[in-house]
Amino acid sequence: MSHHDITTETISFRGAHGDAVAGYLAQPRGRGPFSGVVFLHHMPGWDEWTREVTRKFADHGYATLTPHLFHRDGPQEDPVALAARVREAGGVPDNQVLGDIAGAMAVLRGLPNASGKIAVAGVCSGGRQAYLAAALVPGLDAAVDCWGGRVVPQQPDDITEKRHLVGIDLTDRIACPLLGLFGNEDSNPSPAAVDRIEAELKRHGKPYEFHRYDGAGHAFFAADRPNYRWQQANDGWQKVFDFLERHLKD
Amino acid sequence: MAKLTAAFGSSHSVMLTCQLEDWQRGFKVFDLKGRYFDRQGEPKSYEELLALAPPNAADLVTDEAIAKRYHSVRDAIARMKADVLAANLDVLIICGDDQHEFFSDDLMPPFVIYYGDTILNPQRKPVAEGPEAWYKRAQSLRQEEHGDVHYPVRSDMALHFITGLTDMGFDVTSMKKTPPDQYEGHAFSFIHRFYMNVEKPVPVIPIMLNTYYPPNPPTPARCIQIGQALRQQIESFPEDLKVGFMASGGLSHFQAEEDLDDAVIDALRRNDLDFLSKLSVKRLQAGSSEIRNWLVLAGCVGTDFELDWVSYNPGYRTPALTGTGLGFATWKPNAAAASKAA
Repeated sequence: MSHHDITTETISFRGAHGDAVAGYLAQPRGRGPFSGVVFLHHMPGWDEWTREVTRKFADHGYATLTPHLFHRDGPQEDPVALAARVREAGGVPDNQVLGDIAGAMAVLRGLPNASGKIAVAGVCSGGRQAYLAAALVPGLDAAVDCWGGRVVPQQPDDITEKRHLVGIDLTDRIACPLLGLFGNEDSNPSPAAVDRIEAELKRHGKPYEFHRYDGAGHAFFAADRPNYRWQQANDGWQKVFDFLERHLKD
Repeated sequence: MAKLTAAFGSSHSVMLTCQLEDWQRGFKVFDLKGRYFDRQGEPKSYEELLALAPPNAADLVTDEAIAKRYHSVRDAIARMKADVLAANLDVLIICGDDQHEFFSDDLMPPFVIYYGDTILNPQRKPVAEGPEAWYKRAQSLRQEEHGDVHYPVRSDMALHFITGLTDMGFDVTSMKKTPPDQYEGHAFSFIHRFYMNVEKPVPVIPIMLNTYYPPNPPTPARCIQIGQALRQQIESFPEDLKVGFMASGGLSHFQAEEDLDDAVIDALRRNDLDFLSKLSVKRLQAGSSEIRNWLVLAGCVGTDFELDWVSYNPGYRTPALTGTGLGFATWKPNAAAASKAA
């Protein structure tokens, strides 16, 4: 596949409640039309690997906006140090994330070379948020959940005042095709939890495809971490781009 | 070019999200503290209204009579949802009143077109137990059960309406984003929750009309003119789109006035814009003011649509005949429009 020349910039856009939110935007250059991806970063924050992934989507021809979901908690702070603090405080409210996703979608839709089609994709906590968005954010054409934990609550503190939405209970509302990638050595989501999600998707007749990888645990795409599993990650990325090709480019 | 292909009018009263026992019991207490207007537009208390009630009023609010109306209204809501979905619209214009939701006495525009990319209907908040919890719970049912939902808005067409109406001499208030922590009003959330397929909502264009608040609600004649101008702007939008119009609100309340509602529905049936434009503003007070939304619709559909289906129930709920005129109606293009299209 030929790559795309891209441009990147850090922008400020209107997220939930009209708040100014920072986002990293990577766009293929040219007339397009290009479909969009809202990429949701992992719990370790809006970090360097997150920006690499944003550019990877753009390289494959998707205008991609990655909202800094923790921005409000420390606009001037180093995103990695900030993430540790936000994590300690229990993350960010689900409804705020849904609003930030809707705001990011509006930015992508407004790009002059936009095709009008948009997917949401997320890893780790962002995977769960992508699952919630598939159910609750109107106007998505596809969703990618990479090892999103807590879609099925596994521990008593998986549901909190901020993280109050129970993904699996929203499955009947999912309105777009869903791709799920999971490591069989992950503990959240455990293989049993993934089984439950899959059963629920089947029960409601939702279009989905799941791929599960042996020899991989949580975050096996994260090239800057010991969890990285290059073979599984390469295959997983192939699955992501095949899926987006089918649902965003027709 | 875009085309108006369907039109709908619907009450959005809290009665529609209440339970039968609330109609039969709750309002009998709740309505005692209300403030009302008589048919001359003079303010009245509940007791004064009770004294004016006709001799058969008690018969109109027996449990049985109320239950019959309740079930008729439930059927009407189901029919309306089916009709809205069957219209297979690309965009739905919703004209509804703003009751101190976005606007208050520090700024009260006569009418507003919203052109943000999305509009928020928030997750409902838990209702504290108390004597009026049933009422607050019913109000909250217009909001989302799970997380916040940011509904799509057809912002390019909304912007076209704003610039087009301005060119035509209308002083439009435009709204690009909502104030912090505020969200769409009940006239809009009711339509989203009750008439849309939540998995694939139709993009909307919210038009907020100041029906209620003196000193500047648009006159009936002006409401009709706004509707007529909107029709021109719909049909000058360059994309091929199926456009629907929803009037959200009314009919008479907070005492149900069958005479007023019947007159309005009859005039709508015969496309009598002259009669509608001369409606007395003294009759269009408090909740009855929401009939203005239906006047904008009347202007928009003009003479090439016809009233196709009406469900009307005077929602009496106390012996003083307080309540809401619960109206639902759909319009379809008539023969004249069909021959014009051919």
